[in-house]
This record gives sequence, C-alpha cells and structure tokens, in this order.
Amino acid sequence: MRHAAATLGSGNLQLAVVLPEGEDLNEWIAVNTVDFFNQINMLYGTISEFCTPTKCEVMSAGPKYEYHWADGVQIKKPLKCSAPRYIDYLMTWVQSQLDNEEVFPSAVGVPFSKNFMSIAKTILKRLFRVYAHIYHQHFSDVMGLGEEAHLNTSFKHFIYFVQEFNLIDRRELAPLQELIDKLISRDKEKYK
Amino acid sequence: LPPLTTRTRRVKKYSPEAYKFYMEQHIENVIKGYKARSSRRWQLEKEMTKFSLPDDTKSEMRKMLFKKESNYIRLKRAKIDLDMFQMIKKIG
Ligand SMILES: [Zn+2]
Repeated sequence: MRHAAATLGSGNLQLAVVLPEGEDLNEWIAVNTVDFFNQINMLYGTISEFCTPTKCEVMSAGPKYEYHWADGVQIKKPLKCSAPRYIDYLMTWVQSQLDNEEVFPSAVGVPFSKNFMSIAKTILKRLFRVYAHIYHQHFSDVMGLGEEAHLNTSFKHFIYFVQEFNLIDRRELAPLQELIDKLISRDKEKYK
Repeated sequence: LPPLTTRTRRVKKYSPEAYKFYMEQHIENVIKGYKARSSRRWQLEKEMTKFSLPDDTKSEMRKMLFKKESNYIRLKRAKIDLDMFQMIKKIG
C-alpha cells in the first residue's frame, strides 16, 4: 500500500491502551469503543460525499475483500449492497448498541451484561471494516482533505487497543495487515 | 431496496476541519489522561508511605481511587455525544 505513514505527533499510544491498574476490563473497553465509534463516524462523515452507490457499488476493502451486510436479527441472509448503504446499516447498528443501556450502562453502579464482551468484539470487528474501506477506496479523498495523519493516528490507536485485548481475529485484519505492520514498526523505532 | 438519498442516509456529513480538530485534541487528551491517571496512582502511594498508613488502610484507599477513576470514565462515556455536538456547533 502506498499510504504515507504520517501520524500526529503525540506520545506512545501503545502504553495508553493498557488496562489501568484496578480498572474493570468491560468499563475500559466500553469507553474506548465509544471513542473509536465517534472518530470513525466523523471521519466517514468527511468523505461520505465521495462514497456513493455508483462509485462504491459494493462494500469492499481492495479487490480481495468484499463484505455483505447481515445483523443477524432483521437481516439474516447476508445482503450484497453498496458501500454507503452497508456503512449506513453498520453505523446505525453500532449506535443502537451504544445507546442500549442494557449493553452500555451509563449510570454509575449499573453492571455490564454477561454478553458485553462478545457484543463489543462484534462492534469493533465491524468498525474495522469502515477503516478498511476508507483506506482501500478513499485514501486519495482523505489525502485531498489533508486528513491522512489523523486517520493513521486514529487507526493506529484502534489497532493497539484491539491487539492489547485480542478483540479482533487476525484474519479479519488481513485487508490492512501491511499497513498495520508499517505503523507499528515505525513506533518500535521511535519508542525503543 | 429503496434508493439511498442524502435524506435517507443516517450517516451525517462532517466538516474535515472539525474532524481534524477533534482528532488532534482527542489524541492529546488520551496521552494526557494516561499520564495524569498514572501520576494520581503514584501520588497516592507516595502519600500513604509518607504517613506510614497500615496495610489495610492502604488497600482501602487504593480501592477508593480505583472506584473513583472507574466512575469517571463511565460518566465520560455518558456525556461524549453532547460534548461533541457542542464543539461542532461552535466550529460551525
Ligand atoms: Zn466508498
């Protein structure tokens, strides 16, 4: 991939993702998942005018990966649709999970449900696909808006986070593996 | 499938400037937050040693700090949406 690996000058994000001493794992995953959703939502919102049903007929991440939408509830049989529609379904589904007090309790003292972790994993797996689509199909749009360092930093933080807690299967990350290796090896140089 | 129009799309358009500003602030806050939290933890340990508190009191105080930190990130999660909306309105 020909992506410039520019990132925002900051600190070591790999340290910042580690579970703080005494923190509840679910709580930590919840607050970070909400943050990543907000970032991806805004990012996609900046390029959504370039992501049209004619330009992005299918939800893809390069020529080798194509995604079909199914939420397992309303749409059980995977539906082949355009990228903007897929991402619309995806973001709406994630938002509904984040708004669900039974999954993401917002009042102090309310415990997480038993299936929280599996829902969080599904959310993060799906959010990854939006990054993958943007990197593969819209990187020139991102460059045009001067957002590449912001995207790279957001994505790197996301990857550190999901890797720290093993939240996404390695094979799901394949569409961006090369970029992941590149971003991480840069940090290894920087913080060794 | 019904056609996907600007009106039916639920994903909202965002200004690139707002996104970039948000990301720059956010990453800075992630790093700052991490450092501040580590330093509060370290500070507590230092104070407790200074006053030579008994072990069970120390352990209680640690638990109180952990609870406070944990409640803080829960409340942060609850008010993120509103903050972001206000920020975007301000930028225009
Ligand atoms: Zn697209």
